[in-house]
Amino acid sequence: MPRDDDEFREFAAAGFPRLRRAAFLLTGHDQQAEDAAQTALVKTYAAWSRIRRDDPYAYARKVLANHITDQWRRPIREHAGDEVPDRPGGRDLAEDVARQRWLLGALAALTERERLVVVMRHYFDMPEAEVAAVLGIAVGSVKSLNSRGLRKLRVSVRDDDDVLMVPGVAR
Amino acid sequence: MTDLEGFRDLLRGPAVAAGGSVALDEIVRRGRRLRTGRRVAGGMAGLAVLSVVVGGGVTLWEKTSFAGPAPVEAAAGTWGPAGTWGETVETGMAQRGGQVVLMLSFLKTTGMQSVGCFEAAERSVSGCRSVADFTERTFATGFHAIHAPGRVEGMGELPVFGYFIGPVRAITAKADGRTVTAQLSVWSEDADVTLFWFPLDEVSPEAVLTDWAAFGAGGKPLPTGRARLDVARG
Repeated sequence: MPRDDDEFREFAAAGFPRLRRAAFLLTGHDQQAEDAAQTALVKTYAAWSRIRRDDPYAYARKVLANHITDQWRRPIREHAGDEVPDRPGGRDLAEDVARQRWLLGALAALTERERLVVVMRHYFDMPEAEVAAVLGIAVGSVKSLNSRGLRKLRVSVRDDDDVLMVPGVAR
Repeated sequence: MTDLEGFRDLLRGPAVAAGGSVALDEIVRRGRRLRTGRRVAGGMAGLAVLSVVVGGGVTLWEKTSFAGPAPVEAAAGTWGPAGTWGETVETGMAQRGGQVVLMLSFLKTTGMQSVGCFEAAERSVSGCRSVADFTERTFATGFHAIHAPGRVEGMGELPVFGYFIGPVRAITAKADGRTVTAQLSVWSEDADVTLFWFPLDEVSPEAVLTDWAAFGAGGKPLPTGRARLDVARG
């Protein structure tokens, strides 16, 4: 087996869970997430000789985002709304499941771009400039989308959280 | 309300989507195919078209940007290996026209094709015959572009040969009731592509091959694809 293949397999095994998790946060569907993460890795493999010395994980994240955006452009999809479900309260054995269910419902209430920005910024910890480059939008737009998304999600932001608050957004 | 760190924890939270495991072999296989397809498409984007007379008619010969000898004027039914890509495979079968060698090439109109030639001592290649596959399924798993056994005038016999896409470890067929095994050579440009041939001392040019089969690691049967397997002497 070529050494490049060994390197890729190591990379893919390590990166797959996070890619799949991100895809799950973006799609809300297990199978779609699995397919999207695999597709991202397939395309990363195809470009491996070119990107392996740079930042292959950044490349895989970008491919994943583009792939899911393409899926959203297809005719059948769910539409975002402004109503976010109430947070589940109390702790019990099913709390984790309930919290994740709430999270998916809340993310589904965001627009596609808000959801992408929120997941890229706060799950992948990507800098705003990198999110802007991946999505092909201005850094200011990333900041606005992030703030609006967090507001809808009822996430409070402190001054040192490095999030631009847009006018009219309550904290 | 929740704070930002709490929200980030929630994003990272328990693996609701758990259950699947990374299918590395499948990912690598699809990645190789995609990479090969891109290379072919990239090569085709820079094609220069030359005309070569074949069989009395004019065929458009696509000289690709891939490394390979320049196209040559050829007698009817034979032509030079222009557009070949990757390393030539030496079969070790000596014929009057030289050692039988195999390679792959591409034509814009027909896609990937397997090519068999005779290579003389000075490494000049001539007396080539090729079988093309259709572009739209040229990278599907299974057998492709199988050449029937046939004599090239003044050169000798070419064996049954072709290429297989997929993780193949063995290829067999039946010749006159006997199970025969093909020789394999992984293509230099993509480990998912394997050139194969049945040596003439095992499969005579007159034999009809049936019951084709391909096996992966551990003897696992592989899909044979949609190629025509009822090859008869050409």
